[in-house]
Amino acid sequence: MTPELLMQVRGLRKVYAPSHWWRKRLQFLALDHVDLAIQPGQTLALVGESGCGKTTLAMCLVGLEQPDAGEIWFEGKNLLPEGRRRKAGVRCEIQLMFQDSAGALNPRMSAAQIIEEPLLIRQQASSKERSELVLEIMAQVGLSPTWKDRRPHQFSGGQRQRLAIARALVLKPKLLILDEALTGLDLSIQGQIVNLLLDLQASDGLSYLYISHNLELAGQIADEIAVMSGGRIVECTSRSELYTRPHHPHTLALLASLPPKLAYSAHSGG
Amino acid sequence: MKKNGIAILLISLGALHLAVLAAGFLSPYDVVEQDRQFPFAPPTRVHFIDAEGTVHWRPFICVLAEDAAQFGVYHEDMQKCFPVRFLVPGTPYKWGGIFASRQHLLGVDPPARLFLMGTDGYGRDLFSRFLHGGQISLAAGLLATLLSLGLGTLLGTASGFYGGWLDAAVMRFGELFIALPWLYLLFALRAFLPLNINPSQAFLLLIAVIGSVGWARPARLIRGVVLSGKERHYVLAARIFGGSSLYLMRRHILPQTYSIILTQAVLLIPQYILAEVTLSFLGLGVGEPVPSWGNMLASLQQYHVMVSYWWMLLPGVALVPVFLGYVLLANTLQTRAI
Amino acid sequence: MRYLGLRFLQSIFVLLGVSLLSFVFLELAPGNFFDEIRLNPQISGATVASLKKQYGMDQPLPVRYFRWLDSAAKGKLGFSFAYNAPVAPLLWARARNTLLLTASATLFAWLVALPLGILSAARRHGWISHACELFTSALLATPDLLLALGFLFLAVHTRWFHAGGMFSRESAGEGTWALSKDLAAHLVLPVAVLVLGSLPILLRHTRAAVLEALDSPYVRAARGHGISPWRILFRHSLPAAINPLVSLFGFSLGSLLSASLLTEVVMSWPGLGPLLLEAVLARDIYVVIGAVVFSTVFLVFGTLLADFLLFAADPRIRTEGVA
Repeated sequence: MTPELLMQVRGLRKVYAPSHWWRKRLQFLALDHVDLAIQPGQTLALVGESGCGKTTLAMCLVGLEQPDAGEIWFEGKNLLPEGRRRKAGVRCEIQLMFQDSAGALNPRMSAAQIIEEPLLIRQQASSKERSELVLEIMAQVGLSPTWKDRRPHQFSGGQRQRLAIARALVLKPKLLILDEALTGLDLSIQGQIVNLLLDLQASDGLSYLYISHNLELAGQIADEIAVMSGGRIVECTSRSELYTRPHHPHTLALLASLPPKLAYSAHSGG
Repeated sequence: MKKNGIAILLISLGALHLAVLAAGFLSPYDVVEQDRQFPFAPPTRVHFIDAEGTVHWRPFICVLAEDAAQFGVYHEDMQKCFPVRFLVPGTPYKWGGIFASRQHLLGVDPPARLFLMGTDGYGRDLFSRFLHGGQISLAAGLLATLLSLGLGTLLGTASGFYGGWLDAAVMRFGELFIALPWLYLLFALRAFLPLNINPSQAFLLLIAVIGSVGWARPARLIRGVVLSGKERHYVLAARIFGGSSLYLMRRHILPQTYSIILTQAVLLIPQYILAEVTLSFLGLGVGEPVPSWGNMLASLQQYHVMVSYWWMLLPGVALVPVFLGYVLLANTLQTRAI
Repeated sequence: MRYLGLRFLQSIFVLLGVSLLSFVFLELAPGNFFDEIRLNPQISGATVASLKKQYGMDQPLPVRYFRWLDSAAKGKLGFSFAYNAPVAPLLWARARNTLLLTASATLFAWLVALPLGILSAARRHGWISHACELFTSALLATPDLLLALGFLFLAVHTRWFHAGGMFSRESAGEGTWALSKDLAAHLVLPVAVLVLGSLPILLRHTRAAVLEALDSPYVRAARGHGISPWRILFRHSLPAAINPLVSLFGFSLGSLLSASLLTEVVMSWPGLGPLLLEAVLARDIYVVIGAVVFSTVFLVFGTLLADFLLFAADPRIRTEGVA
């Protein structure tokens, strides 16, 4: 693996097939020889239509699913040992954020409890240290510390996403995977969250893998864009090159679906 | 139902249970005390107005005398009347089996007898037996529910969480329990165990039998909740943080089952009380001389009892308020859930 | 049809499982019929031993189970110690009476619950609906045991009904018509108890099923088209409500059997109930196993019937089963 890269994925393959001997089903190839690379401190956007395998890829990267073949290299180490059975949570440098903030937060827990949960699980800090860290992180993501005892349903959608970000940051990850994390938010809130993410990237050196079906959003924060379709990466270039010199028919289709004015502004690198 | 309604319901149900708990205090007589002079005596009439027409503050009762002409029929001797006393020392008993006491709420001086619900064939006060019997029946229902729900939660959670062969095995096994009519299953299980055992062993046995028959339905429901619950994103997030399976179950998945467990409990408790009553009624449960609401009704299977002694039906009638309380509570819980 | 075949296989599996389980449990039971006999000082130990040998009770458990299975296949279902006869004919005679009772009760219960449920759903805020709710709650609070005892009490004191039993002594030897009338007269009370016991669940679920069907979008669309409410009810909503109702029918069989067991004992109806109770008290294990398996057969058959009805009535299941 190239040393400068934070993470490199090679030839990842995942097949969904229930293995009953009495019933043969059509095997579903979710990931077909996927290659990806992420530089430290950079953002890679992964764009594709629903069902193309984006979420499966995210699950494999984070350890919630086991790929059937391929390699995942992170900071020079192979994440998939020989036996291919990787336990989720052993490496906490890769974190995942979900689309629905409400579903991603336990409604019975307070904000402080949600944020400190990762520390509790890993038994990493004393009770006092935890409370301090919680307040610190809440301030960092723009949540007032007076809200630490509120439940998720008492927050707005944008605030919940901030809460989810706070929780993801607690273990000081190097790579944050955002699975449709901006979809469904109001445009103004989207902008705020994007700014927060960019600030965090600048201050903490985070890398992002931003997964979406929306090319336009991706264009706002990504340095590199990969287009995925049917389990394969069909195109992977820098942002500017994608708009000036798109190759794959799928990419062309995606670009064509954008409203013309926005395509123009994305093209000019805005 | 409005919030007041629920509160009233809970308070009434609670009061009923408390009354039964306080059986020793509330009952005038001991459970096994036999008064051979008065088998099958009707409920004692409580009077406020005496033979001359004077109204008394304190209620009073009159001595029962057996009719000279007819055997087994009693009439009141209005000449010998005694006031009802409150907070009377009587036969010793223990609160909750620990604190000894001799105080009883009601009593009369001998030779008068206060049979608020009449007596049975052995001359035992039915009211006292009813209250103590309630302890047995209610406790059996509650403890069996605990066992059933405990088993169901354990198996349902394991089944839903781990899936695979464990899930298949548990669900198939549970289907056998659901496939049989519950009373037949109870009978079969009861038949498997010794018949002639002392009442305290019978009590525990009954709880074990009733509780282990009914685990399958709650298990299935809980499994359903766990199946969908374990896919929630906050559970996945906790997995990514490195949470162990037990942690996930304890912190995130089990709390999702609480409301189902509650509704199941409210449904099951009256069913299990009834199961105990039925089994004791048929002679397969708690036996003499320990009273239970079931075995108190057993004598009604004899024709002459059914014909002549209507008050023997009273323990059965008293079941209705208890069940009504639970039924209404279940209704309220279900409408609130929706 | 494959779907039904699978369900049938499943049922066989359940039956075998139940029989094996009850066999194992009962064989493990401490004390058996012969121990009870041995308590009688007039019977010598040698007699008991030879009796045991005769009934094959000295063989190991698996051998006994297979012998029992063999006996079941031959239609005998084991041997009753108390009655000194094969179990199956005994059960069959009693099961007929139980079947009569439960079938009549099912019929009347649905006859009452269906119209009432439909009406209370169609007029969901009317007085019928509220009355049904009250009635249901009151019935739910009254256990079957109390209903049975209460009715018996009524019978004994008012003499309007027969207080238990299946036929009166006086009617022995009379013609079919008189016998039938007598039978019907004796059926009234037990059937009433069973009907009242099952009404709450049936009423609630019928009302809920019809309500759900009435609230569906396609009903609203039909109203929008101007189709009359009654036509909507009978032509659209009711067929949609059949699915949950048939499932309910399958489920209610189990509790009906349990209720009838108790009612038969209390009201001296000569069905499976009293037989089973006797057998349990006397430790006549093959009768117990036989009765349990019998009741399971009945239940399984009823559920299969319900599944078949569902298959025939609901086109969704027919197409889904193929895929």
